[in-house]
Amino acid sequence: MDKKNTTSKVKTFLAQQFPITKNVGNDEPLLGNGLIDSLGILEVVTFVEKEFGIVVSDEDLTPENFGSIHNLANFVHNKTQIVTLRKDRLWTV
Amino acid sequence: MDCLIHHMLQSSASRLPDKEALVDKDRRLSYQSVAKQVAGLAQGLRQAGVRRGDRIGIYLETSVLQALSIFGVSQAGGVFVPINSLLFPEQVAHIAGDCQMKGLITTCEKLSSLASILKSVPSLDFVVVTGAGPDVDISQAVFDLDECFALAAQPNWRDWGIGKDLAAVLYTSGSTGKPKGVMLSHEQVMAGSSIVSDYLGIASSDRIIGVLPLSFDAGLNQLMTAIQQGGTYVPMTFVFAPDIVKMLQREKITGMAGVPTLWSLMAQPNSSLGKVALSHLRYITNTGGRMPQTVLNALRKALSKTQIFLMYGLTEAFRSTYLPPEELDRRPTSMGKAIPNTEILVVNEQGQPCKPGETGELVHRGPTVSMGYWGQRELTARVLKPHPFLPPELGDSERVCYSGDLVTMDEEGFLYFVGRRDNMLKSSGFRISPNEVEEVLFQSCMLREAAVIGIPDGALGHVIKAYVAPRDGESINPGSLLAFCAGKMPRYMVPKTVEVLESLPKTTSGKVDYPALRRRERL
Repeated sequence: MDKKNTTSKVKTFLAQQFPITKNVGNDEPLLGNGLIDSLGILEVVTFVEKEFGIVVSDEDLTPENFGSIHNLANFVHNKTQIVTLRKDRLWTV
Repeated sequence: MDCLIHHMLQSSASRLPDKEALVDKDRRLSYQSVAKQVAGLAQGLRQAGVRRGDRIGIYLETSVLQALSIFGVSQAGGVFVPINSLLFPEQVAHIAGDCQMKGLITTCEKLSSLASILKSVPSLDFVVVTGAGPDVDISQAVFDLDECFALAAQPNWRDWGIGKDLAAVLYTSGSTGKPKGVMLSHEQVMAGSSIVSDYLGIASSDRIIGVLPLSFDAGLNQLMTAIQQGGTYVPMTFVFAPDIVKMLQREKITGMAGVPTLWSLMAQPNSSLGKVALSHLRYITNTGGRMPQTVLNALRKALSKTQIFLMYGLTEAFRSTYLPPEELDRRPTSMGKAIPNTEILVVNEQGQPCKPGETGELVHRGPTVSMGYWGQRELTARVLKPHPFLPPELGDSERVCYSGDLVTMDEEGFLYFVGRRDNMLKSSGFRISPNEVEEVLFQSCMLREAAVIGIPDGALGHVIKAYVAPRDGESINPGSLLAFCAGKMPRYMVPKTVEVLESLPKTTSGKVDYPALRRRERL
């Protein structure tokens, strides 16, 4: 899936579950200002794991990965690349 | 003799001047330094015009600054009103207006969001601000918090109050209407810290993490116990639960209090909780709702050396019961027994003591029973009543607290939660009045009728569901309705689901039939 598509899926989910983020720009902060709280993060994690088939570990829970829509889409994109690569490897083995 | 809240700080500071008292990401302060800054703030607040009993709001995140502000207001002779930093401007304005707030301590950033709404609070004379933010045009006098901390204390400082005086107003929701201010005297807050310190065995060696807001009685109690015993209080705000685990490890935390939602976040299957060594974590406590068994089991496995205390309290009586850790195996679903120096009665509808196993209302008697609700005499009289079973010769000077919580007591005196006597909801540890949520739903101007109920949920307590009926000839888009709500109140109050009905079921008197709505959900 290309990055644009990932971004748009993430945006749609956030707008639905966190309507208050509707007018937040892709590079504007999502955390620390009441937009998404700790429980909200859990919902975001559950969504990206299910939607993109990735596994989010404790170490992944950082502002670098969740701090903005842009960061989140990048994080998901990079993770899906890894998943795809691993699948490729499986095929070749 | 310690009879006012800030005396506990002064005593600890003279015993342990160099001991670490308050720590957060920005500061590490010794008792000596905390006492000095608190004295400076008290001086500043009196210069700003604080008189005995004036209510001073503190609208800050859980932080060292908030802890310093609480003690500073107490020492100035004022009454502190901690405001949950999650609240929206309209809700802050309600609190400020309701308790006729004279001063407000907050950040420049938060002040800018409040500026327009503060005009509706005529009692507000001044604000004390910290941090960077845009210039705000307000009519109140503005002081700088850091400059206050630096003020030199007067050598012949005199306290104005006594232990019976009002010390704090904690805003909480009930079953109806807007949040109400529960009044606590210095004596009551201090009795709460002595009692909790006693059964948790808190000592100066303890390092207590504060993740619960200080506007919440259990959160405030953590700060008070730490300072009273000369321990260290480490407040923190967090977005990612693993950050708490890191903090527990880095700061060698010995005690932590949480609510079920927080514990279930920390006990997620891939949590780092069981993977790092937390040998110093002596105890954890749960309050604000029943901890789901799965979460409890996960915590017991991950923290096998840590004592787990299940606690229960309501703001109106500050703290009420706890289950000793050694009872966890035998009665994992119990709320425990009365805290020290406290008696818990279970009273049936006829006003008689319940037999073992019979459901009745939990009635709390002891030194932490609050002074009632600020400005609400009738409501106070419904919750704080004369002791039902005292001999008449003793008169009715003592007030006990009728909790509204239905419980049973077993033969050995252990209590079990059954439900609420009213419609009050609890989500993420917060008390929510259905009316408050319904009022915001109505503000959308999309609805003719609205009613809110709670669907039981393991981790959250309740998940909020709204039933709505559209105005004639109009239709409702649940998504836009929820979006509207999300812009008006904190997330824990926003309904999770909306169901649109043509009209809501009514009782014969024409009121919304809440039991019928609950039956629809098979509750």
